[in-house]
Amino acid sequence: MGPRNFASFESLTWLGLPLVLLGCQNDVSTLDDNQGNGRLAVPARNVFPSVADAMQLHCGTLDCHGQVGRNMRLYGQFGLRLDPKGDPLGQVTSTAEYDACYASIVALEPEAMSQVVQRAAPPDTLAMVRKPRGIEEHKGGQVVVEGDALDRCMVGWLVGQFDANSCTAVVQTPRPEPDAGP
Amino acid sequence: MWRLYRPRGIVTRAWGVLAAVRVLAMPKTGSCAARASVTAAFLVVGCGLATAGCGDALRDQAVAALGPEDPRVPPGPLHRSGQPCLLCHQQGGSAPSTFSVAGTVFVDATAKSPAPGVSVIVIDRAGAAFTATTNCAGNFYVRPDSFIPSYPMWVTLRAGSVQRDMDSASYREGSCAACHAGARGPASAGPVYLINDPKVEVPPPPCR
Repeated sequence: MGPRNFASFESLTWLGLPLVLLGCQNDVSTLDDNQGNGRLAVPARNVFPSVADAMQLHCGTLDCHGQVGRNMRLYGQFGLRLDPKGDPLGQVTSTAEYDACYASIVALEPEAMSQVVQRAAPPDTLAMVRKPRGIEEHKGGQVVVEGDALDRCMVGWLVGQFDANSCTAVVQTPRPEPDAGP
Repeated sequence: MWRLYRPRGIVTRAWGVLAAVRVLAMPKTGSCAARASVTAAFLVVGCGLATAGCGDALRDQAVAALGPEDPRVPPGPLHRSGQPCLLCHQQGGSAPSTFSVAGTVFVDATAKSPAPGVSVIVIDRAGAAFTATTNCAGNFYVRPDSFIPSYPMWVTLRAGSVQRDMDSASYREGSCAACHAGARGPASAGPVYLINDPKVEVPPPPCR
């Protein structure tokens, strides 16, 4: 490669950058498809408290999604409180906290969630399913196994087949006990 | 325009200086290989500088927020009670030793007195358990070569006839104070303490 060719190579590098950026732009253009048309489907709100209670114990502790820095931000009795005067282990989860959790979850990936809710896409399209299953990098590691109680609770809710028993089973799972003391 | 796009940050400035030096150092004539090698050399130096400058800024900020050591307590097992130990005592942290789980137990919710001699029983998702004991500052720590919990982990405190179980699990945090920081509030469960009802529960004797 001579000097001229090397210069051409440098030029190509600079020309390539805008092309790469254009390519990125195309990836998000689909957002326009649903912009403001109000037709996005969301999972049921009325049964959500059972799902939130199950998620609270496994996802919403203060060291994980019970933090204000999280996109998926969960409030509740065993974690972050919405009321500035509240505290963990104080009052039971309030309606306002369920609302805040619900809004946080359905706003994560609205278009993808709409497709999952309408069964036009599999549940693991959503990060909120992929991450706890360990399919996608998750700082908290794998939290559920596909088909276990919490997985059935969340996925059932997402696809319109709410499974109350699974959600209850998650909440009622006892913590491991230490051996009897002296 | 310069005000709008002026370089911000030491790394950006360093890259700017390197790019300028590269232009000056680039041979005006000569083979493509020579020009390419100059570019490659500056890329290597630049990447090295950038890597050296990339610490964990958030962690550094959190450590700085803890403030200096208490001059009355030298660095060691008794220092910085109630603070998130693993901020420094982790791989890449500033402390020479690393912990997998560590924290401080106080006698009661006021967090005025440490609770020494308390057994801190850590149980993980696999049912594996490890017991550490608090020292005179109420501090306890678990070294990775002794036990690394498979998260989630649950914690139980035990001293004499008193047993206190943590209500919820920890899913990834080894520092108690990460969630039990300062006073109880919307984002903190308050200090870790042993005695809930001093009328019926007997605290451990203080250190002498």
